[in-house]
Amino acid sequence: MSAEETETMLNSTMQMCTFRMANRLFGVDILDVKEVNENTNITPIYHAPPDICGYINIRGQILLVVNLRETFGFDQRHKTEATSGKVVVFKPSVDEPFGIMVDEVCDVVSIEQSRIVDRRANESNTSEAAKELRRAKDGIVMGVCPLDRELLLVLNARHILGRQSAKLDNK
Amino acid sequence: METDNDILAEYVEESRDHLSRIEEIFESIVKTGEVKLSSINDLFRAIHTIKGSAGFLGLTSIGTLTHAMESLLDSLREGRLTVTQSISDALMEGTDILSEMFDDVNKSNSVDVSELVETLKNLNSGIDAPAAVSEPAPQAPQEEPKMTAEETEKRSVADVLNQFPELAQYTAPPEQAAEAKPAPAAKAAPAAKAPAAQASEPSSQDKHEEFLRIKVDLLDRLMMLAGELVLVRNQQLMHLEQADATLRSITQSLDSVTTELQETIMRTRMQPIGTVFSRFSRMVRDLSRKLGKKIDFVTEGDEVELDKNILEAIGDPLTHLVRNACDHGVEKPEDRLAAGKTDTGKVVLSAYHESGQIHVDIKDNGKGMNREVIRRKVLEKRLKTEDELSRMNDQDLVNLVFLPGFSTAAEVTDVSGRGVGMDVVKTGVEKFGGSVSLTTIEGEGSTIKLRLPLTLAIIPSLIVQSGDERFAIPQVNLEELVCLYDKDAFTRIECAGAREVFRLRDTLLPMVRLREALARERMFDEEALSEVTDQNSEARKEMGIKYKEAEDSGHSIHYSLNFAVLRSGNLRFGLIIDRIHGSEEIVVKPMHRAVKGIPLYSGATVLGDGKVAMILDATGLARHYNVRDVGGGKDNKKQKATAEDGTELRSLLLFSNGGNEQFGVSMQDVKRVEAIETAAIERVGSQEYITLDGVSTRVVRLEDGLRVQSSSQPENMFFLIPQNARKPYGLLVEKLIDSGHYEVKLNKESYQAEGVEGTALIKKKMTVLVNLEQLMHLVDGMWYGGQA
Repeated sequence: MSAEETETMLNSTMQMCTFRMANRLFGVDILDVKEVNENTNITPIYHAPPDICGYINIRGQILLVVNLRETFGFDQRHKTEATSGKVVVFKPSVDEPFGIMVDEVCDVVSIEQSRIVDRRANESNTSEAAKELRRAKDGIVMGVCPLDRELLLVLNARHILGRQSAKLDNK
Repeated sequence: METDNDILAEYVEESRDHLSRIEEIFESIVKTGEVKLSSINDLFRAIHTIKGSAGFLGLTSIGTLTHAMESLLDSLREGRLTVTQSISDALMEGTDILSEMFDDVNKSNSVDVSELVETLKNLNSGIDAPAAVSEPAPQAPQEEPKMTAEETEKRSVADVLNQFPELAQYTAPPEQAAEAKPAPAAKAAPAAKAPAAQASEPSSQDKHEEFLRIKVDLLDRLMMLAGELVLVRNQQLMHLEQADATLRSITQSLDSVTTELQETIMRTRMQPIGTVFSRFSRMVRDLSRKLGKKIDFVTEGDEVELDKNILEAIGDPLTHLVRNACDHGVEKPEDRLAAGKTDTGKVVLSAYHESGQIHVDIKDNGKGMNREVIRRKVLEKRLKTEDELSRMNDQDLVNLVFLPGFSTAAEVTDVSGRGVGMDVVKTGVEKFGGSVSLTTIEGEGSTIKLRLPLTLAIIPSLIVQSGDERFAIPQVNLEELVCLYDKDAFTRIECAGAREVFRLRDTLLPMVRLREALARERMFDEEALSEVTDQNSEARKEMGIKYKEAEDSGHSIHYSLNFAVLRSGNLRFGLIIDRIHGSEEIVVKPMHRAVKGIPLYSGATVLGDGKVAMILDATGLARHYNVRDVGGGKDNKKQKATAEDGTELRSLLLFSNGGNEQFGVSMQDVKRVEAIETAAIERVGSQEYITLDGVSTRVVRLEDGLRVQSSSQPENMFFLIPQNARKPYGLLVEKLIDSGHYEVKLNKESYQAEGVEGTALIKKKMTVLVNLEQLMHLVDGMWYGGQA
């Protein structure tokens, strides 16, 4: 990213497509989102990393669905919900066709770029396990943006699958 | 900077086109043996265009080389030189070097072309001098001073012919010959010259307008959109019932247009196989010169179209095969004469459609393969043991050449003989769903048949189910389906060490449980295997107990076990699945980048009901389950069963045809058995037909050929479809009795008839063993005999 781009990003407002997952509010840049789809029938991919739900068919196109709960290590009792949520589908410019499973799609929120706080900076006194988890989240979570009532975790869609493929290679 | 690169890339692309055009021209010159003036003009034009841009792009090596080639071509064009072998060789060499330079155009300047340039110059000047005596050519520019370099190219043939009567030796194509006649008049009136010039090269003009360069991903996108359109159309069709008549007709046209659109887009990916074939005649010519052989190379079916990806993939295997045919197949002229053949060998490369696949045959009339040599080589390289070889039949022996590491070449030449040939071909072709087979007759030559799918994108496959999920198994990997019922379901699967096996006729088939393979992410080791085997043998015991209990208490439990016999390379295994759904043509989608590394799958597909199914990869599955060839394929115990008294263990299908006569056919001769309703049999004249899978299949009754009791024609009968039938036939039988391995002592005396092998006592009953092939022949002969 060039300095110029960063500057425009910092100064401009960004439209966020927000959604809920395990009671937390997340957002991705709306320009990266192609559509939101009802999660129809998921076909599991055996032997795939645990945070891959499987494939779904959207109008003849096969789409990989990622379960970010797994990536973030959220409470597993939500797992049953994971098969009945909605899928946020990203544009082809983001990566090969894929989407993420969410519990509920919320409003579109405009936020100032400058209000996104990179919270990695002020968390240092954490355990090894937490650090491990953080490394997985690194890159995916761009930062936190405080809204009126709660915090919005801003995700970078472009980094979601980068993690997946790296993991598979290690196996 | 970027625009510079763009220009360069475009130039390289264009030049490649020109080079392939040049290759084509050389091909046709070699093929027809005559040099047309139009060809030389085309060559000149192509080289000139390449040269033109090379200069300002700073590609000096390319520039120098093309300049030398251009000058030589110019002399040919103007008739100062006639085409000789050395000239055409030098030009072809130049073309080769050019195409190499275009492979890495940025380094092209470091390629040393001086030697070739020198040769070209010498060739040009060597004969230039004497010709110059009567040379009127230099005057030409003076006559028409306004003529620029580009215009020179377009100079009409008529002009040249007019100026150089000696050019008559070049046979001009008819339309050019026709143009040549009015040319003198045209010369008198320069204004009329232009049309003549244009008319002289209509073919090359048209060519440029007919083609358009399109990016492949754009086509892929179009294809995808067409797919989406199909789905939209399907939705529309679903809601059609409520719609009014106008809407219905609109929907119908939408339907037909969509279908046509999809087909057309599919066709954009198809290219004639001739583009691949064309490079071989050149190769064969070079090879035959190098090897001191005379080889006549013929291609057939150049126009047969194949998917672009497949075309790219078969290039290398075909190169191997053609090279093999020239090097190992065709003999030296003296050897051929000694063997009583003509001194010129023949290699035929032909492509044709057959049963939904593309067949490519490579046939030579050379020396064929000697079974003894194959045996010796296999033993020498320790690829198989003597014992194994002694059990092989002729075809098995020939197929050994596909083993990795096999080579029969007496010595390693730079042409072939490194022992990496045929297995590379086989794996290469199998990778994209094709197959290879080889037939060879010693002294008469060999034929290698490649069977290729039409496109990579759509493949026939079997849909199976394990747990809740459905999977697709590509038909190419599938050999047969086996269903075990009731008792067999728990008695026929046996344990061999840590592994489950099944005795399929005379082979031991290692079994793979799809459910377990999916459940375990780690590759199977001995431990995991024995765990699975133990679990299942426990389960089988339980099934046995339950079955027995139920039987004792008077009612029965029904068990069934399905497995598919899959082949991957030389490995065969049985894949146990929960359910078989039937076959479907599926569109293969590659795996997503993030899950590409999983060996179990070769892709994914959308099934008819819209659900995604994974496509199983037989090779990956076998590797994951750690499948190895159990007991070298053949079951030794069974082999020993052939005792001296002529008793033989044979796998038979027993049936009856009404009455109490029992018949048997060899299981190997039967491709499949269909249960049919007799009402579906149609009569045409004296013949009966039944439609199976859309094919009208002739119905043969046992009583048509043999003097046996006629069938009482019940409602449901069975139809045996023979293996290797040349025409669609089947044998109609009333009842299937049993199938399995039986000790057969063949008695040929007691009942003799054509179409019958003999009789044997099976299950304490006299059984007539029918020879299906003979019977079909017999009946066919009678039919034809009766009609003729």
